[in-house]
Amino acid sequence: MQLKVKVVGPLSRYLPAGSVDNQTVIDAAEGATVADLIKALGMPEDQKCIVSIDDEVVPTGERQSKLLSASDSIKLISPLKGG
Amino acid sequence: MGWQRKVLRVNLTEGNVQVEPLNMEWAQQYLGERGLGTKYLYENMDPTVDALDPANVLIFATGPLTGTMASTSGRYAVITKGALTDAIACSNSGGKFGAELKFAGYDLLILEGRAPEPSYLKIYDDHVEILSAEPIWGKSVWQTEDWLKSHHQDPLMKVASIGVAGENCVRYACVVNDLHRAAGRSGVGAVMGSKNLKAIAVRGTVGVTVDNPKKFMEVVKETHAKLAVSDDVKELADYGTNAMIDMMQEFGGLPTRNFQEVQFEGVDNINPAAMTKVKENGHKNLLANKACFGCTIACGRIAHIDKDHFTISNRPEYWHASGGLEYETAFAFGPDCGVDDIDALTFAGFLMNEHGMDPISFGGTLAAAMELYEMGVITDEDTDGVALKFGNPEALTVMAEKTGKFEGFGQVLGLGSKRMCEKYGHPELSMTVKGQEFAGYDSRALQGMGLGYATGNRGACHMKHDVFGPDMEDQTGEGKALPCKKSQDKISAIDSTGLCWFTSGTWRITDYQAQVDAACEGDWTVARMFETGERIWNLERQFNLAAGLTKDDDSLPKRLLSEPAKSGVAKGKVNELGRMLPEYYEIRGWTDDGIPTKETLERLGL
Repeated sequence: MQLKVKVVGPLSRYLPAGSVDNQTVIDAAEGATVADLIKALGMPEDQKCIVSIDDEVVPTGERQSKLLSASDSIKLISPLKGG
Repeated sequence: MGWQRKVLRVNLTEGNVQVEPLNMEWAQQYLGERGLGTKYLYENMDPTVDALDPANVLIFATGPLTGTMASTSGRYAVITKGALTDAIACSNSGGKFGAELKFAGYDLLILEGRAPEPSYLKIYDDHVEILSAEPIWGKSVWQTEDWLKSHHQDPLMKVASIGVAGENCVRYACVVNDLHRAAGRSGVGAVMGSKNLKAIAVRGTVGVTVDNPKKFMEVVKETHAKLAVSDDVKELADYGTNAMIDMMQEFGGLPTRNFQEVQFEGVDNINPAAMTKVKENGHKNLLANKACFGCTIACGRIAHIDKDHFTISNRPEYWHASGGLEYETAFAFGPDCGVDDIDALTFAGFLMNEHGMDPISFGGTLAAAMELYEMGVITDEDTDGVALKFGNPEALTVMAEKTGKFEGFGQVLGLGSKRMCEKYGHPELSMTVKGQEFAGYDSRALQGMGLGYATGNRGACHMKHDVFGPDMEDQTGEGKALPCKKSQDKISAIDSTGLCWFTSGTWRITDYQAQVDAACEGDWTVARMFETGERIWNLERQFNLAAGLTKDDDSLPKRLLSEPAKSGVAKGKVNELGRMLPEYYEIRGWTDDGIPTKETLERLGL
């Protein structure tokens, strides 16, 4: 399946070259999890980031088990603070 | 050592200048900067006096690490009773002024009374003079700094000053140093203006010392190295603090149009990508980044405005480079006012520095005025003919200038949103805590942030607690009270060192503790750092209680408690303050009314 992913903030450096509007499409096997997606993007397994699917945050502890589907609106948001 | 062991006390009414020894017992209990300044304030004034009364005391405080070779050691704080909040104010700034004050030999500068005529203070080590500010009264911050350096023929002088906004006691006037760094919040510049004090000009040649130089150098080398390889530092340097705007937009925590919404359709026009985008005419907003004294992060932005833009096309005096968009400025002028014109935002930001105003509070006040205007409560007759509609860039820039110069409707905006909304019979439209406007984080999406806002001793503030991690994981109030309390204590300690909180994405508390321990006498353990922070937090609370604040001031606007977020991760949610606050009081060792118990005060030596 193909997963549409938006990566927001400094973590967008992990997006493939040529990505438009901080979005890309990742080929993934059926049954892929959030952890698989993070790995496919080339991020470290323990990468600090906020993952939201259809505007619901996936707790860090559920990344290994949270299944993804092609219809999901997936965002990976850089974990900044301050300002 | 670490401390200079000297306090400069200036009575502006009498024209007296005194140097007194630093109370080392207090230094061991409150460390420096925020904590020590708070202790001196608490012991030197009646908290019930009006913030603009001569009996209010204004303190400039450095920390034991200010001016040392530690990274980010340029910090100082201004502590007083806030003109915006009528609560304790502690506004922290970078730049180079703080280190220079330390180099002149002082830990604290205490300003009392009110000068009989406009004055400025000149400090050259132990040579201190109160001089007439007649030539610069009515001038901007930028003009003031230029005049002082020229008049005294000293380009290396460091200056902290107020603009016309401060002279006229605009409630959120700030103290600006080094042209575009500011002790920005709570109206400390209005207090300075009420004292007829235009500026403080400093040169210092005394230098600083530390308790254990060899150990200090070893520790500083390690902490520098951590920053050098930190992703967090690289991101701050590359993107600046405005990187937050994309994050808050996607998260759904970006307050928009006076907090009516939590996402802004125009964000792509004002985010870091927009700052680096080259326009068809070749203009690019961002020119460079800039560091404060001793800083190895350099999150500051230096920008310029497109000369063709309506704001400056006929005003070449604004064609130069100056302080660019930080996140809070971008949020307050952008989403909160519905404006997505990056040049208008940058120009309004220039005006804040030039005239000496807090952009967060100005933006929040203008956003409330825009809602009042769209409701029909105020009209063109009130606003000098300017259409205060959300999204109108001209409304932003014209009102920023009017407020800075204290002209027309700008005088009303200068009240701050709480007083302004009360004036027009709609206090519920003021997005404030203790009279201070919110930063750019919506507390329906960030629940712990809401608790931190509500319990903030200086009112709504995002810099005195850190619950970002738990807030990103979970959009309820569960489990937020403890990290809120612990981070308040931790930051109170860090704010008392002389170092910048923007290191906290890399450094752990042990890194701060090791630097303090090497620089200062006494055994500074991690536990002692937390206890010191807790003592400071509780002393600030005691000041506020003595000033007349109560549990009722630990609240949030009705909008955030009863109007659900319309989109984002918190869609349908309101802030759960009612759930978090009792737990917070209990963890703090306070009564149900938010008063520190006798046991808590005794435990902290208060």
